[in-house]
Order: sequence, then structure tokens, then C-alpha cells
Amino acid sequence: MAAAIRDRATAALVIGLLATAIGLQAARESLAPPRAALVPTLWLQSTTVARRLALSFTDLAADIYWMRAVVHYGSERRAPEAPGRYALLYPLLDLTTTLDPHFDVAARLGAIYLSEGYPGGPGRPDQALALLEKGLRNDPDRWQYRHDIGFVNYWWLKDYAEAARQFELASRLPRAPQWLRTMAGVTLAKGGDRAGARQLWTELYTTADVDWLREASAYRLKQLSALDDIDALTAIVTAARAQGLALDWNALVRAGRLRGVPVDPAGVAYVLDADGAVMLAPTSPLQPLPTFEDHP
Amino acid sequence: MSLGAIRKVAGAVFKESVRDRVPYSLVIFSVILMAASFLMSRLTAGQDFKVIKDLGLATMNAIGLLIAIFIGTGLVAKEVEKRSVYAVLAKPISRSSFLVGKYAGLVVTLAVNLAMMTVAFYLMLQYMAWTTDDWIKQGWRAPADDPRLLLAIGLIGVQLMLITAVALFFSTFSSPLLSMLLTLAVWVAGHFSADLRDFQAAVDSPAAAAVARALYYALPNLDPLDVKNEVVHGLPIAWPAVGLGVGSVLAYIGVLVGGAVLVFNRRDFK
Repeated sequence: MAAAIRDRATAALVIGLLATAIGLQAARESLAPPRAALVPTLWLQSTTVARRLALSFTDLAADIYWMRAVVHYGSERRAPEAPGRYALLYPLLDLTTTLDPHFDVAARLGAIYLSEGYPGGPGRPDQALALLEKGLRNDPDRWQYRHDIGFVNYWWLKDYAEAARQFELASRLPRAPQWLRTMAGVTLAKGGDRAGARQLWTELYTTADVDWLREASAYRLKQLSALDDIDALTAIVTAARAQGLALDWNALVRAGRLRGVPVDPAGVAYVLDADGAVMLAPTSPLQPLPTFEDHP
Repeated sequence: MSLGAIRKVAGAVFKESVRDRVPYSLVIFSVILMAASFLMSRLTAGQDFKVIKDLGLATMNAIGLLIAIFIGTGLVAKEVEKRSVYAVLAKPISRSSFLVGKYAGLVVTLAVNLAMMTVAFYLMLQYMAWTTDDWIKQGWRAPADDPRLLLAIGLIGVQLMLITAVALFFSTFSSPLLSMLLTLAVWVAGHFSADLRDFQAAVDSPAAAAVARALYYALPNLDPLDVKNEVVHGLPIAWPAVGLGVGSVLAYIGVLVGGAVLVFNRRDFK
């Protein structure tokens, strides 16, 4: 009996001490919040050393670095303007793909992160290409790497001849889809064209096997649709202006030129300025729209 | 050596490990996997399936390694420390049977643990497959019920058999702490073999390079038994290299258990 009472008292003491520890921790936190690290640190920079230290756990270490890269990219995207933004992205991706040389998604998604223009990404297509070429050295038969190298050349570097060459090389690799050969031809003939870009993003969307890639492709396709909408709306506005109608969406709706106030594919109303120019609202998530050499 | 005696000692080791709550590692393993699967999905940008496979295989390897080292190094040393070895050796049981039985008992414990963790692992992967969209599954380079995972797990088992033999060998003549450190050192060296082979590229001394080369062949090489990456990515496996690697490790196990018997036979317990 006495032992049972003693046990209960001990348990109550332990629970009480735990509650005290948590309470003190919370009080300390509110009194003196820990200072955020000014510059995120990557302690292990050498890929060779990382591989040695991971011993037989290289795949798991690669996963950890991959998660760090994803979190780094996501948090830097949301962070306010600061020097050294995205500074760790390439080293983290480099470590990931050294620890697990066959981790193709790390190289492919990493290339998308790296080439994304500032402030949405570091705007480093050169690093994206370095990562993809490293992937290609590890898996020379994976057509996806060649496709992505072509894609970075097409979309970010506007080097259509190189993009077409890479699509062509990709089409010769084992299990490469038929459309790559078509893509190479289209890129050569209509590089910088909106239709060519639409075809590229549509193929990427339909062949994507990860959420993020599919979402990124869908986003770009929405941007292209917005460009098409703006062209169509500009034609309507120009015609209405020639007939002396007021340059206002509601006026155009009342005149039967439009069914309602036009909205972009993200659901935000287009802006019609006093000069008759149609554009995305500044608040639209589709901002900024890409530019093309020749508008259809 | 008597097979019946070996079986009895092995059974006792297995029962003792169950009494020491070794199968609790299964609970730890399952909790790690389940917690990871819930936490990972947001952090891996769609790579949670690959991460769970990596994590599952790495955890099996790590838990097995801990069991092999911590229990393996105490197999003989604990008996000597507690002086229970006198009572055992007074029975009609040879020292070699005692030692081989101890080894077999721990190997069975590890095998049962690995088997239980394998079942939990496959269940977890099946659950993930069941809750994942088909279009995402098309991007998986190996399916959830990939039988090749069994090969990777089997090879982890072979590595653990070797580490258990190393632990047993050291435990016949040194303290448990020293045995642990030495066993750990052999495991680490087993993953650094390629550096020993290429030592001549780092030093000018031909003698040092020759010693390193000799060590490369003398020490067990665990890298050929590590096919986790190939299995997770659905890549082809270099079967001849794996086969030869398994053969050489089995031979090393024979050497180590034989060496342990030789040392143990010469020990004076008076």
C-alpha cells in the first residue's frame, strides 16, 4: 500500500516537473526569443567528405539534403529581399546529387528551382545546366535530362538552336517519346514562338510524375492562356474604341461586346487602362508574364 | 562440436534477447516509419515514397547494426564477467559448440527482427501505394511491392552476420567496450575499402601503398553488399559482384568464428 502511494507520488512529481520545465521554457521564449540566424549555414560543403561520412547511409543523407533544399527554396521565396538569398540552393542540390547520383528528381526539380528568375528563384540557369549535366554523366541514357537541358536553353537562355539540338539528342536515347523529335523541329522552326512554348509546357504537364512539376507546368500554361486572352481582349477594345465606346469593362459588357468582366486564368479581373491597354492586375498571381519574340 | 548443443545455446541466446526486449526495435522501427510518412509529404516535393524506402532500409541497417554490436560484443564477455561461463563449460558442451551456438543465436535474433521489420516495411509501402494517385505512381521507378527490396534486406542481413562475427571474435579476448569500438572500426573500414585500394594516388610511398593494398584485400569489403540505391531506383544490379561479395563475406565469417573458437579454446578460466 505504502509502495503504491510512493509510486503515485513519484509519478505526480515527474509530471509536475515536466509541466514546470515546459512552462519555464515558454516563459523564457517570450522573455528572450532566440535570435534568428542571419545567414543560413551549410556546415558540410565538400561533396566528397559528405559521401565518406555517410558510410552506408548515403541515400538517407541525400534525402535529408534534398529536404533541406526544398525547405530552403520555399522559405527563401517567402523571405523579404536580403543579400545572399538562395545562396545555399545550389550547394544543397549538389550535395544531394553527389550522395545519391541516381536521384533524378533532385536534379530535375532542382534545375527548375535554380533557373526560376529572381525573386521567385535565384535566376541561375547556368547552375541548373551544371546540375542536369551532372545527372546526365551519372545516367547517360535518361532522356529526361537532355530534355530538361533543352528546356532551360529554350525557356531561360532563349538559345533555340541549342534547345533544338538537345531535344534531338534526347529523342535518340532509349525509351524517349516520339514527340521529342517533333519538339526539336518545332523549336528550330518556331523558337521563341508562343505556340512552341505551349507545346513544350503541355508535354511537360502531361509527362510530369511529381506534383510540383505538374503545378509549375500548369502555371506556365495559365500564363500563356492569359497572353492569348490579352490579345483577344485588345482586339475587342481596339474595335470598340474605333466605334467611340467608353474604355471600361462594364461599358463593353453593356454594349454586348463581352459577357462579363474578363478574368485571367487565376480568377483575377484584367485591367483596362485609360489608353486602352489590357493587362494583368498587379495582384494577379500570374505576374510577371513571359515575353516572346513574335506575338501571333 | 555437437549440433544439439549448438541448438540449445542458440535457443538460450534467442530467449535472452527476447527477455532483453530486443524485439522492441520493431516498435521503434514502425514508429519512425509512420512518423516519417506523415511528416515527409510536405518536405520532399513528391519524393516521400523514395524517402520512406531509403529511411526503411537505412533504419533496418542501423537497428540491426546496433543489436549486432551491443549484444554481439557482450555474448562471451558478459558470461565471463558474470562467471556463468564456468557453469556452462562444466556441462558436457564443448567450447566451440558454446561459441558457435552463441553466434547462431544472435544471427537468428537478427533474422527474426529483420523479418518482422520487413513485414512492417511492406505494409507501410502498401499503405502509401493505396493512398497515392495513379498518375504519381507512374513516376515511381520501382513499385511498392517490389520483390527486389527483399534482396537489399537480405544483403543487410549478410552484413549483420559479418558484424556479429566480428563482435564475437573481439569479445573472446577483450572488454565489451573495446570490442564495440573495434567492431565499429571494422564496419567503418568495410565502407572505406575503395580508399585503401586507391591509396597510391594519395601517397608517394610505394611501401605504404602496398600495405594499403594488402589491407584492402585482407579486410572485408561491405560496399558490394549495399544495393539499396539500385533497388530503390529500380536500376540493374551487378549480380556477379554481389555474388562474389557475399561469398567473400561468408568466408570471412568462417574465419572470424573459427578464429574466435581458437582464441576461446586457449583461454584459461581457472
